[in-house]
Amino acid sequence: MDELEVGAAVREYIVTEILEGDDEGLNGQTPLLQWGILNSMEMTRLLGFVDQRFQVRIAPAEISPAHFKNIDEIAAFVVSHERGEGADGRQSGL
Amino acid sequence: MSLYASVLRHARESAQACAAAGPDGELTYGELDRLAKRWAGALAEREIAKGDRVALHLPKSVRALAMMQAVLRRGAVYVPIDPLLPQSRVDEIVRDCKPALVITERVMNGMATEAELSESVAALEPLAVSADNPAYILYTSGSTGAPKGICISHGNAEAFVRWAVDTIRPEPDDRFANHAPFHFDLSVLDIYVALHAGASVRLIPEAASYEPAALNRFLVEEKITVWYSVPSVLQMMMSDATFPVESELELRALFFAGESFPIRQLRKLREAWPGVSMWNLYGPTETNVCTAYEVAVIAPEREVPVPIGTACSGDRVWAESASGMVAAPGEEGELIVEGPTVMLGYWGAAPRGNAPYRTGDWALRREDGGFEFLGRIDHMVKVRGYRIELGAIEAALLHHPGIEQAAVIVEGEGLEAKLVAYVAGSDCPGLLEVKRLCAERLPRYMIVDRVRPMSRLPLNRNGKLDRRRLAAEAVHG
Repeated sequence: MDELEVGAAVREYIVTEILEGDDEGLNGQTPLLQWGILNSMEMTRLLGFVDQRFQVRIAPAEISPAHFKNIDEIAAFVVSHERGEGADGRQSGL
Repeated sequence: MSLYASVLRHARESAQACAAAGPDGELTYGELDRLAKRWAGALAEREIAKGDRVALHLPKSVRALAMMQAVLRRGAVYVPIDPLLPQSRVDEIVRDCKPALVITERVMNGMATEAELSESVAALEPLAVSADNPAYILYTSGSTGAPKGICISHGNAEAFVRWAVDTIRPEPDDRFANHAPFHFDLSVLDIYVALHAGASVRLIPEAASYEPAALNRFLVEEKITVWYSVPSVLQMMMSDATFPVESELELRALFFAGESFPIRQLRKLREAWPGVSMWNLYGPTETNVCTAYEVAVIAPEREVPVPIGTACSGDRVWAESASGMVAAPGEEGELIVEGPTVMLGYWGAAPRGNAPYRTGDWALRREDGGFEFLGRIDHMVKVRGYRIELGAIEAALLHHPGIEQAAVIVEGEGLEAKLVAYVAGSDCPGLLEVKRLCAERLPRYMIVDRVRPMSRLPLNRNGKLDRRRLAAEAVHG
């Protein structure tokens, strides 16, 4: 499992589950929170998907908005979490 | 003082001038007065007395207009009923206002000819009325729940007509278009301002009301000089290839009201017809038109609809802020109206006296004393705990060059509540682009969750965007 693979899966999830199939212009840097693509409910659902797909269990308490800023950040966070690096110290001030 | 006075005056002074033209022909002022006199006699024979309600269940025609005048001549109160309403709704209205007579096409055709009227009723003069006698009752269209009859006095209508006359300065050779159905209060300007001036009102046939090419043709061929409709109808006309250039028109004054005119399209209209004076009017049916704004140049940076302007028709208008105080410049509040155009009351309810009327509309008070309409208070919904003005989201969506119409409604409840945008236009963007668009201008909790592109958004009977039908379509998939 690498960031590319996780990123592709997360992107696929967002396109089908949230954007109703619309993927035009969605890339690794698209601001997911700022554009209202992810809210707290969607984040929780996304964690459920990551758990099911990659067997990476992330508790809601471990996450901060910074990890969900965009697809690249999500992928990096999931991969580092899987390697046991925890919440990787990048606690956001948000 | 009677709304009928204009017809009498012009029948004396300019009997040959055309008063009204419609799908069933034309009537001069002389003919209109004569027909109204005959029918007023027929109403008298049926024992219709001053103050009685007479329901008019008639398609739009010059004869229907003459029947309205006959009822006024008799000192009675006309109740126009939308001919397209389902029978159950008609029954509800009739049960509510208890008319002495319901006039259908058949009843009208069976009314006595002049020769058949007895001498005593044939000679009847118009009954005198006072300013606070009711002239007509307009039932609010299509709303769920019980219909409400808005009771308008001669004085209420006159106060608005006087303002409109001072603003338009109509001449006998003016030609007013009538787009709105008679049960919709926009028709009051078309009919009574035209009659006041001895000008003519040109009725747009029911079948052409929502055909953009037919409307554009009507505007040109009928040499319309004054037009009044809801913005949705003007937008529909603009989006058609037949939309006329200014040099084809005699138009000099254009009024719109009833909903917000999306700024981008209004700017286009302003630029297309630079010589036409344009007015944005505001007022619930309960108050007639109580504020007005003349649309001059629209600043290129303006992103929200033009203001609704300052108080008119002799009314006093203010905004009451959430704290219950009169809103200061720069503050928002509920619009409240007091003055000569405010209705007598709802039919069947206790008379309201001169009490100020709370409109249920939320507005910003401007530094210049005018107002900007922000939305219906009951359209301010709560989604995920936030108070949201749906109109603000629609305004943001209309910034996209490919979106011509937008309506946002809430689907689902509680945590499952979703903001759903219905959009129509030449090049509607997908959800991601719509979210980006919202994010640029709105707080995060106002970003839409779903986009439903449509070829055209549904309009209601008054030509306004029909939110109820959108919601119903959402429910029924």
